[in-house]
Amino acid sequence: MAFLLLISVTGILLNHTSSLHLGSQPVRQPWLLALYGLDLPDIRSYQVGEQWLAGDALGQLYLQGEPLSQCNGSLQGAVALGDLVLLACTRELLLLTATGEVVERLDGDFGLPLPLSAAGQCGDRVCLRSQGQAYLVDLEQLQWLPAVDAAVQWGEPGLAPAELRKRLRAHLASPLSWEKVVQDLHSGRLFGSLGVLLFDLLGVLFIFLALSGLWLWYRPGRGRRELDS
Amino acid sequence: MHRLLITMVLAALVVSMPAQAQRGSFLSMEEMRQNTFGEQAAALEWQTLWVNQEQRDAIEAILGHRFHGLRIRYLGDGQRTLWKFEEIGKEQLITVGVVVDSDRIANIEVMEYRESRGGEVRYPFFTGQFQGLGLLPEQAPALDGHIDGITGATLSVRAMTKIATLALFCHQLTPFTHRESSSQTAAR
Repeated sequence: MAFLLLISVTGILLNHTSSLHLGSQPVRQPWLLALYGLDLPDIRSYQVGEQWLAGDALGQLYLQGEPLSQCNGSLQGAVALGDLVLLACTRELLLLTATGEVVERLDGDFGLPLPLSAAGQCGDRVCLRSQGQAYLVDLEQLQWLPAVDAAVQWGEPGLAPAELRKRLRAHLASPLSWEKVVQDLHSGRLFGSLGVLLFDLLGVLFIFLALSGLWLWYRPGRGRRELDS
Repeated sequence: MHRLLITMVLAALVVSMPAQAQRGSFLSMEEMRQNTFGEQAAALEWQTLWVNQEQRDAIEAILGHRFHGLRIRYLGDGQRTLWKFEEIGKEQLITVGVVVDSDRIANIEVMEYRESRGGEVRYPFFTGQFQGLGLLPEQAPALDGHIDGITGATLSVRAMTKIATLALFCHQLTPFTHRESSSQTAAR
């Protein structure tokens, strides 16, 4: 009964996959992704003042759990710089206002040492780390002066509040769509190769039941035997 | 059957090739810098154009959208400046390098193109139209010449025109502008 319900419901869903937009609906449930050996993109979050900035491995940046902008590489650090926020991605430096407007982007063309691996405070200035070397940032003169690594208070990623993490997860790109999950539920693949075998056996069983039922209902001489008895 | 399969694969390749050929990184800033300033390129330092509210309004009028930049970096020498701007064509950013010499466009190059269509804007038959163009005098910033469009690349053409206008507008705000050099010479 449960099997019949399952294949019927999933079959109807598959028939309307376009109108239900199942192909573009991302799966974000960790337990379901784990069944496929997948995971959501790795996220790093940094607190700057009252705000949380985050970035995934694909270069998407988030402010307070909402999509902000793209940067070249993954987020490696975020620090306050006066009224602005400096974000260090692997291959790009971004300067943001408190409300998240990008006011400047700097990359290797401007002499920025790459790849970047951290950002931190060195006194009232900002420092970056690239290939194990610390650099003092001078955005006025566009200079990156070597600094002593030990003197820098490097920003560490933190755990954003649960509400922000939940909001952020709703925006994360997922490698799996609901269409694929429904297809695999319909075929039994979601339960592995044994699932497919089980669904095959149940399929054969239902074919047998249908044919045997038909045969019992219409077997030759059925009417005469009933009259004899 | 095999022949049919091979034909189908080849047809799919031919169809997908133009889209692949449009995207790409064609010129680095280092090459652009070298081509523009030659031997002096290595010695040049980045200049900064700070943007005030009036200039920001003009830039937003040129671009047709908000501009949040505090400052614009560029390279300059003599009466020549080099600018790198990014503008969205249809959905993706187009990175463009513009050389302005004596208040007129000396060169414009697509450094990186990310859209799947419209990449024809990087070819000389199109970019050549910008050479020698300046800004119309005493009006809202606009090019003083006509740019012919490309069928199927309307938004990329529009983005290139905006960038060319922006570079000319920004150039005239720098100490490298011909007007300033001329007035300085006259003052002497």
